[in-house]
Amino acid sequence: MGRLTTRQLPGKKERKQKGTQRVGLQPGDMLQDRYRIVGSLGAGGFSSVYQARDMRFPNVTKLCAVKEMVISAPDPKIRELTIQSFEREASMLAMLDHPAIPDVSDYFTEKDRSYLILDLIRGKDLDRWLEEQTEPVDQNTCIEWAIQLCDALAHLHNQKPKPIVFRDMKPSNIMLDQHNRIRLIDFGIAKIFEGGSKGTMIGTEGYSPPEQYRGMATPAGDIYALGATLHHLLTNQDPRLEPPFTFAERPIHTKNSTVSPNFEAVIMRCLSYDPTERYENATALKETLQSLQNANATPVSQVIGGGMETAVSMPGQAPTQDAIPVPPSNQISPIWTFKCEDEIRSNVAIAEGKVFVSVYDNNLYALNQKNGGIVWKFPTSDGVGASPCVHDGTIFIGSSDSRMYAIDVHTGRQKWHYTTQGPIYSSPKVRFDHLFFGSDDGHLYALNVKQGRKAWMTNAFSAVRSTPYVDDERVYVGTEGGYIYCMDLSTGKTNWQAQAKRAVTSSPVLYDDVVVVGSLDATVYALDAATGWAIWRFRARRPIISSPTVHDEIVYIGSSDGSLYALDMNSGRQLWQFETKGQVNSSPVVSQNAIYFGSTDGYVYSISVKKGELRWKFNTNSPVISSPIVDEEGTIYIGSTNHILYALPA
Amino acid sequence: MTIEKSAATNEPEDNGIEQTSEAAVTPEQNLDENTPDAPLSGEHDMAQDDDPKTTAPLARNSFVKVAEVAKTRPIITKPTEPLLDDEPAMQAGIRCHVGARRERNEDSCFSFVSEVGGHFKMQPFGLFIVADGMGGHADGHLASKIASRTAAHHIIDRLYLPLLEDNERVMQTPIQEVLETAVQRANRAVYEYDPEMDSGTTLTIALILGRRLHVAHVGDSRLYMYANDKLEPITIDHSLVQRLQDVGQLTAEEATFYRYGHILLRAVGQSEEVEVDTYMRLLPKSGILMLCSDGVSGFISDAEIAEILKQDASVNTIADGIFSAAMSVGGFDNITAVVIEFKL
Repeated sequence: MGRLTTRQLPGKKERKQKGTQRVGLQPGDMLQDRYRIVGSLGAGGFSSVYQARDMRFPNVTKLCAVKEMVISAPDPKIRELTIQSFEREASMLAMLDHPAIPDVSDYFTEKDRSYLILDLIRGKDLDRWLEEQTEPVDQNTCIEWAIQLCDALAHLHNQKPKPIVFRDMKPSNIMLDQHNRIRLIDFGIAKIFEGGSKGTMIGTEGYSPPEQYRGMATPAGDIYALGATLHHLLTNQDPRLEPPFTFAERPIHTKNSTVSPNFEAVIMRCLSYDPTERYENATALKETLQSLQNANATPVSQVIGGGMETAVSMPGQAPTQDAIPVPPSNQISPIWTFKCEDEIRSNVAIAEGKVFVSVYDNNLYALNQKNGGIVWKFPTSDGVGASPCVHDGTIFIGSSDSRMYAIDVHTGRQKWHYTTQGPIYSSPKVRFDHLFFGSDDGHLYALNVKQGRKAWMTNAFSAVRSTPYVDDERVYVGTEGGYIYCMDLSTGKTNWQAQAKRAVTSSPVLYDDVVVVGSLDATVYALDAATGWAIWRFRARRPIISSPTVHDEIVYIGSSDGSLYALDMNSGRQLWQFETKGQVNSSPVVSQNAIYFGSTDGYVYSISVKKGELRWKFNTNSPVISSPIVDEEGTIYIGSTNHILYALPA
Repeated sequence: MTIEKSAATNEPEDNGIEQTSEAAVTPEQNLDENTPDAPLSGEHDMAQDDDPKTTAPLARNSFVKVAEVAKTRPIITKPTEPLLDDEPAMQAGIRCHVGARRERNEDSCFSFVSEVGGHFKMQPFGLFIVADGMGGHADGHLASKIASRTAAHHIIDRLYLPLLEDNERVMQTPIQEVLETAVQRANRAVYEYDPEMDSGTTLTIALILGRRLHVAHVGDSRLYMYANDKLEPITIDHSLVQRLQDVGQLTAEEATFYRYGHILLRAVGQSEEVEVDTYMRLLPKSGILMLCSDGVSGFISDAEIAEILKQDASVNTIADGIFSAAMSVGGFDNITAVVIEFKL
């Protein structure tokens, strides 16, 4: 339901739009008094490729490819660094000597653009080639191409001192030249230019390995993407249009009878979720392919070696459910859904008619609040587990890439970012034009919201994943080391610290000058806000990650023991508990007379405020860790680990 | 008169084992593997909330008929300074009197106010206790004394002295658990003083720490707050008459003349454990608290109490006013009033 409309196709469209929006080079334009633009060959996220004529050869028409990359960083220092890295990588590419890798003959920077001059390859890329085919490519052709690709990858990966990672192996980056030989185009050099501007993830969704979604680009990732490319070529099923990492559920032989079990097993091993279960390197893969080529009948075990069976069973790739199964017991149906690339563990933020959701697929999405249509998306370079926070037209979001981003609510353009020394899982809070958040580097930060300038940072001595609570004078936050800190809002000086027995990942709330927070030590604590003195504590049966909410002097909090608890704020005594079949790590929210929360049993629950009686439950068939947010009209927004964001009626 | 002892026992949850090192736990980790430890370091002697219930009614004083109003001499009052405007402060005035008819004062009360000045200020700390020993039992006066002093000792030892020592490290045992433990210790001390004698007492504790009031309460002594022109009872009596009202079997009016007005549902010292009400609330910026025994609340109405508390007078004058009012209607029981004015 709605799967195709929300996942990959908008992404493609977006890329196209970007290409047309930018004012690029026009035919006749001259670069360096030498390269005259003849026409455009295409545009990617940060770069465009043109066909140009090299005027150094006035008497003949010598054509070349010009790759143009825009330096978007406004900061002169960063610009300079960008240019330096560009020149370094260009020099490195120029040193490569391989038949499948186009020669770099020149590079330069003009104004805010850097250029790379490459061999012009005549032919067509495999994406276009595939479109023209009525039958899937046959096994032998495919093995031959795969061997050539492995050879090129091996050459890249064997570069010293550091291997070059291609990062973006896919049919459209592979050219079939006029001699029917394979050539790689579009190197990852464009990545240098991504910093500080909006773009897409490194690599291409569908082809990229799981770890690349978390910001890791390694040679093993290129092997996965090669496997994905081969799967696409052999089945003619575009992985960008399928749920990610579902190759195992779409066996090649069911689409292409020419493919032997051996070759399929080789490809599936490339597609192992775990990088260590793939081929050790491109050379090993190449040799396996060559042996397949030489002796098609050789038993699999001899050809592929150990680990094949686990590779085929694809650990970590649990069968993906079809979107939104609705069992008959469900009383409600979603107003809309939005499907993304990875698990949603954080809460949404709502502002100016948009719903903002951060996802482990690295992106922050801005969706139309009414229909869930995508407005823009902002990629970070790693998974986003924190929740966004909106303030005054700016959305703030922390990422596992260690950065706090400030993004324009309307355009999705980055205003600034601030880099900490560790991944950010803490969700920011704004108060008095300052942004407060924690980082896994063990500090709590206060930044100016306008420029991202640091006002202070305070050492909390262990990772801060809890979201701070900020009142007029103080900031309260929990740490993975099991402390609850109270800091002075203006100086960051620690006022007090209180100790739990285990990590405090739960986010504190303040009510009547009492700080309420849960801990992995299975306890809910109520502390005096001024002194940190414990007032009461309540023991659940198992650890607490859920953050409390207080409504009418009642504390509502979930526990991994499966219950949602209602506690009397003034005594810490349990009023009632509501049991689910999973862990309640989601933080409850109260709206009207109902409490909403998720459970790892797959349900989103709505229960009554007074007695905790079930109003309705909604099955997502996948653990719900995210916490609901309710808008003014009573619509509930909550994500699930099934990659879907739901807008549910109250 | 015997009290049924509940079979319920403490869960051995608080095993006193300190965990010394903790690996960081990621949110992704399966929480099922984490068994809860005793959450806080520090004390492990506190009783649990799920205490046995002592619900058997206790006969208290034999009902005394209202007789003539006795004349009493006014008590000389020590003048107290009005509270300063900007500094948080509190002061207390107490009256604890045998009354007009009883031979022995079986009430006990306790008042302790600490204010520390200087660059390193301490939060205002006030501890106030009223205990009303049960007259039908042999040693009511001893029961109330033991209970109030045992509780006061524990609270000062666990809350006040650590405050004096070090402000940096936060006290780890929750205040309400300290109060709960104080009452349990008082209960045990009374019970063990002479288990055969069936001694008992009410025990109502008001602790002011910073801007917060913490209450621990067993029995029918009361805590009132007068603030923002309104009198509010903070405690709920553990009495048969209150229970009957709660379940709709008695109106407030009927309750005034109810025959078994002195029957308690809970008392300190009747069994090995006692069920304690503990709770807290944020205090308003200023106001008056009053703890009293039923020698006050059993004879003068809430409206009268409000009239006296709202006077613009020192706490001692107000305490006298309460005493005089109780005496003026007969002074049939021991009369105890602890009046606390606070500005926080």
